[in-house]
Amino acid sequence: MKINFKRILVATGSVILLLFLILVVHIATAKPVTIELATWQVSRFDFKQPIDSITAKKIEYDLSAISGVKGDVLVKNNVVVFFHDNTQTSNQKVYEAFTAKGYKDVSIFKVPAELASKKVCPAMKQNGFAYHFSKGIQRIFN
Amino acid sequence: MKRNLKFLALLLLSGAPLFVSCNDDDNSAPPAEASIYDRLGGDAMVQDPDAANGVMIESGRLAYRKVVGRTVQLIVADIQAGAQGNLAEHFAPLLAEVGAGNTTNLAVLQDNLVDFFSFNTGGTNPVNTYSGLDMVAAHNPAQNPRMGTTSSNADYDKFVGYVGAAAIENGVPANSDLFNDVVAVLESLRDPIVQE
Repeated sequence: MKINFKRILVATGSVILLLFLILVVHIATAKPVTIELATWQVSRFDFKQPIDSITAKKIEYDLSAISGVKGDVLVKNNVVVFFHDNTQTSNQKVYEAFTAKGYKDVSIFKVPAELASKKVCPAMKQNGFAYHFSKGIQRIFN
Repeated sequence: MKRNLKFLALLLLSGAPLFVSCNDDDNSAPPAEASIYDRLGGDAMVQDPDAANGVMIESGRLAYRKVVGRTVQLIVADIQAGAQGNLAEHFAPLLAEVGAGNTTNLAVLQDNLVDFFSFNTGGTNPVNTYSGLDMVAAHNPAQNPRMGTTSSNADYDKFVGYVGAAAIENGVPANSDLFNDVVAVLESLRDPIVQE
């Protein structure tokens, strides 16, 4: 039986093209997931001394008044934890605005290196072809 | 004698209602208890205080989001390197990302927690659909790289304590039925989550 290579080539090419088109449609129709409060960042300031209840109330008030600080402020022992929108401000800017109100002996908490070094794998390599291809398709259609 | 019998019959007839009026054999079903989600506000829409004007949110979902946010703050407040009894190892990788300005995974975690609790306590509208991993996979570092390490019973006790404290700070009285029901839900998840 004579093998018709031309027909095989056309059939294979058609299948590959079809699969490629299905992939493009799949990526294009995948709606980006909407996450609430997507740009909220949690930050912490550490005081050298424990904070009394009256100062705690003042800290809650002063911190909440800073532009970009969102939600409730937690004061516990010598620590203040708050959320801010990182499209509006940064924890450094909040720190500067906070200390400008007269607060001293306070520093921005950074996760200790030994804990921060426990990295987790990203879901997708961000310098890989698959990531850039998907992002490109998404950018066109969304 | 006839008169006495008549009187006796009349007495019995007049007394008969007494034997049936207090019958507690009630045919109507007791009212169903409102779900936890309903007791937290349910699907009544309110202005989202953390979003632009006009953006609404279900009251029950908002209540859970407040509790989840406060829980995150309490966990962050306790993080100390090398100290026992805090959840540093579980959350530190996430917080390192956040510290570098990458807030995506924190937002996803909070959203997942709000979705999960809302949907599984009566908030079954599509907005609360949970699309994350099941509880076993979500807390197994081999299946979920976002999980820094496995959890022990002590870790889980700590987590339940944080959620309880967050609930109290958001207006759920301790030792109320609602509080106890929320804790019961958390306890029902201990088995799949604790893997140490």
